Amino acid sequence: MIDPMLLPERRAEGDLTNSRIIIYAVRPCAWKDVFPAVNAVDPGYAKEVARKWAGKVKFLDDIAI
Amino acid sequence: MIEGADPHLEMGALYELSLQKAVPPVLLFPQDQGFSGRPSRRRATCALRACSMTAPASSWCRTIASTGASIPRRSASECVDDGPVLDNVLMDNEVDMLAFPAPKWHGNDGGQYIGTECMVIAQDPDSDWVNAGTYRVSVRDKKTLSIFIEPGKHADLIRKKWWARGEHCPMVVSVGQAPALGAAGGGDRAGACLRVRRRRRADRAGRSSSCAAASPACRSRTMPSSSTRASCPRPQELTMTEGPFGEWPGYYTSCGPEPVLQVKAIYHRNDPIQCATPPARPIYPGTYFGTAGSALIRAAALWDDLEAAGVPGIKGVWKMPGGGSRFINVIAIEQLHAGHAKMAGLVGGRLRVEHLSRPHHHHRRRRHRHHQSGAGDVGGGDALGPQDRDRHHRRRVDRP
Repeated sequence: MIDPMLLPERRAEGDLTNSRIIIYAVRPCAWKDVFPAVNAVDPGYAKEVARKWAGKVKFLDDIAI
Repeated sequence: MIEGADPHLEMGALYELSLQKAVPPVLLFPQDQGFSGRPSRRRATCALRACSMTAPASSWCRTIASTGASIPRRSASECVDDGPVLDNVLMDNEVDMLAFPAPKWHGNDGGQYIGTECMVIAQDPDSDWVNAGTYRVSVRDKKTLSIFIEPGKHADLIRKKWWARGEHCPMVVSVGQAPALGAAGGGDRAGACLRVRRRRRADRAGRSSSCAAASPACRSRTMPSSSTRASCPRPQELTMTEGPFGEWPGYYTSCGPEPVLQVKAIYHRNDPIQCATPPARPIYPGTYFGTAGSALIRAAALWDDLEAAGVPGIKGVWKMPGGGSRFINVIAIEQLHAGHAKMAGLVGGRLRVEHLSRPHHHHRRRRHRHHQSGAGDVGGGDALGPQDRDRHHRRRVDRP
């Protein structure tokens, strides 16, 4: 067990597992103002459509608009 | 089934709303555009059930990986001379793409996209390789479609070969195939292989090649509901401004001049069912099993590759379905040694080069051509090159 990052307690128990995740999810600050627009339905239009189809389309019954 | 939804934005909004469900329903929008608008109950059921096989269970993934179904290979298929797709054959002045629903899916889309769950079929002019991949296609006028293919994708490599000869690239766009075939077209590899029957080479040179695709799984249902035969002129001859389009990373693409498809013929069955999976912002899971870019098939392919690369102790592999299932891989291992997890992460993060085909692809293919005689296999749009197929063919032979 060469890995120095293993916790002493876990090492003593023979538990060699660890869990790390790094998510680098940012928009570059230098050009954030010209970053492409998000592909998402306009919230106002989504509400309008949901209102129109409420009661007629089952999946709309239990989703948050 | 949702009757009366407007292809202009309303269908897209309903689709995106449906993705808020953990297991979204498959939506069927009957359209009255000269058709009865009512596909038979049996056909509709088949299409919907196949599309709705979400099953994020690792058991599915393991099954696919262990059976090698993620690896392109020739399956027992049957060539047919006729089929429902030939119920209606529209040529010359009868060609009218505007007669078919082509929704505007997102508010800022620069066109009406008929091809989001489509298979664009093209043949390598130098070999028997026939590729089927999913690339976005929009309707421009009665006889013209725009097509966007990222540089380096297989269909792009193929069309550039035709253009280098000074010729248009013949293409067939299928927009109503069985969901499993769409999943294959958009996958990194073909989850289900099909054979494409080609007419004689002389016909192809005359740009009259026509394709009829069939798969053994459900012969009558697998035939495309509708497809379009077209030629793709060289960009120096004709381009149109294409896009923007709300794409799978969750943003609109920029727009620019792109090649077009000049439609020569339309084939469709009576009351065709067109398939669509418009991209949606992650983490909405727009790519389930029965759709282009299936996370399930990609995860199984990754599992296969990890084992081939020598990573031991793999207990499960999954890919986040949102974002074209390209962003986040999850690899579960039974840890066997210090550094095992890091090994799995580093190897897994490098294995799936999904955007680009290998640059030496053609050279290698020719060298291994004896593996690929006969009718062309169909690889995914982003599929690995044939040299990778050969590698996996060999590996499979070695497996106990």
